[in-house]
Amino acid sequence: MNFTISRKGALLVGCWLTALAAAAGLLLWLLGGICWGAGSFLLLSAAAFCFGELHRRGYWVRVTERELSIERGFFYRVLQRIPRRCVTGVNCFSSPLSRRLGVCAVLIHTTGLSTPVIGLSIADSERLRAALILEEAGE
Amino acid sequence: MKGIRLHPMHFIKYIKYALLLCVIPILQAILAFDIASAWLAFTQDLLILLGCGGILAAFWQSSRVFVEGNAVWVRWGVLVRQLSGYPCGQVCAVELCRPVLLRLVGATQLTVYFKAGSGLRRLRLTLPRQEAGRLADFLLPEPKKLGGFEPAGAKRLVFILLSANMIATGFVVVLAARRTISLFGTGLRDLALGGLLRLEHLLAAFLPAGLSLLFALLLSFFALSVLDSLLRTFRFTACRAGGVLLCRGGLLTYTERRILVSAISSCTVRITPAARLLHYYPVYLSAGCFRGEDLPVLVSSRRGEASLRRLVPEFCPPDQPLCSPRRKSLPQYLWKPGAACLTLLALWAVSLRVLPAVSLFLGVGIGFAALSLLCQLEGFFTEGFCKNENRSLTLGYSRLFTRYLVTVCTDDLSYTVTRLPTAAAAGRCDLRVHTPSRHTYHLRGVEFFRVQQLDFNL
Repeated sequence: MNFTISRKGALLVGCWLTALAAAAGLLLWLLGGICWGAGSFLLLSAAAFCFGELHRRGYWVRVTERELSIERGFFYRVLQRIPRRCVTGVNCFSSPLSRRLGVCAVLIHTTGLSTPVIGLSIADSERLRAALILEEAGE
Repeated sequence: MKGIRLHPMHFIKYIKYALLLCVIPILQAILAFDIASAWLAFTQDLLILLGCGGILAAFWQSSRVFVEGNAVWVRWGVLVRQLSGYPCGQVCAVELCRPVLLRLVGATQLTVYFKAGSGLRRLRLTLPRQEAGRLADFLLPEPKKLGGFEPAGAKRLVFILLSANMIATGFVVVLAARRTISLFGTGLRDLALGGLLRLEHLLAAFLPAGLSLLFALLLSFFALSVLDSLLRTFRFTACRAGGVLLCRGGLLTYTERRILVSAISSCTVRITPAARLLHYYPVYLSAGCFRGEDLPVLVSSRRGEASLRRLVPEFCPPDQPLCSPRRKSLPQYLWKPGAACLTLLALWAVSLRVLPAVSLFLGVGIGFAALSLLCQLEGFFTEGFCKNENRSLTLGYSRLFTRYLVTVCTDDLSYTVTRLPTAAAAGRCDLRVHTPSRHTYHLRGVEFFRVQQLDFNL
């Protein structure tokens, strides 16, 4: 069972980072003037949406019979391998914006670590939750 | 097992600030030998003390700990009542702790650690002494056989030295000193500084000027850490029987730990510079959510591995090389200590011309950086992992001045593999192994194909 991040998921990540870019732009506006603030906001916003797209391209989640694998990153590749029996909980988070886009953030808890998956579609997050929790519990 | 009440000391955290508010003026007056003022402060604070006593009594009266249906149940609370249940099958370690304060009032602090997977990681209760022992016996029975590891003579001295943690003790001492000074004024600070300066004057006779204060400080922290270790390891014994590993000892704070052998998740040997000099290595255990990093279970010499195997048979020294340094990147290991060493060398060269008084300090820093550089160089040749015949996984890695050899004996592992483009091109990656104790072991520059072959079923 494979899951990937949708384009709307990338848009959500871009929007979240744009909010941070707006905060940074506001700070620079106060410190250095409107040109610095607006310039940095535009630059950082563009970078945020690029980052969202790169985040989407390199991201996949695979659930096999025994293992959950999550691979992410474009330049800096990160692969997480977790045995399914170690999954202790799955949390799904959604905000008004993410619900509007039809995506959500999933936090997977295991015995050794907690790992987030940001930008899965709501349908995929339900399938992932069912695969990890309900099937493992034998329901 | 019939129901028992929690000790009133369990609830002291709710009233400790009110209690401190009352006790400090009385103590200050007593320290100043002003009995009249102490009595006046006592009478003024009597109402607050009575209120605190009432709160404690209400909490104590409503509390209950009982065992029912193979689970420990804890009920407490006055206005909002809470009943919590903890399954006995999830218990992996039990710790009985009796500091001086609790001994004076006949209480024992019982900490129950749970296996991974459960939401709760540990449960801490303060109970009357006998009841705490009875509950601990119910959860993990005390092994009858004694005499596994009882350090005596020179081995005791080695155990004390290797259990001492100068950095942690120094940190705690500084924090405690700051808190004490803020409560009792600057008299204690003057006393401590006076002692330190006297030691500095003594050392100034043997050491070059400028270094004596640094060495006085280091010597003070070392003495305090050894004293702390001496107190914690007083009459220390460790034995293993009936599927339970028992460690106990301590003078001021008596500590007894019972670890379920089947729940042991990792066994760590720390090869510190002191351990290399003494040719003895401290062995630490973790089980489930019990981390056990503060005190080793035993110290073992390289020759004395039979005793180690008797007490901790889970430990498996690697019987094959852990890595092949062929694919590794030397800068990945050496850049931190190397950069520190080069920076200090440059500063030292400048200080020789500009400020010769500082050059000795910098020389000491260069020594430490060079030591770390050597340790990292060792890591370059030895950092890696291997699977053992007993289905465990051995990890070896170096950090700062210490080399760690870890035998992981649990199946509940997760791996995180990270690769930079350059590392991916060279076929290597960084591997992080996550255990149920929330330990993350970071191995640098291991071969990617070996990581891909790693299976979860140890």
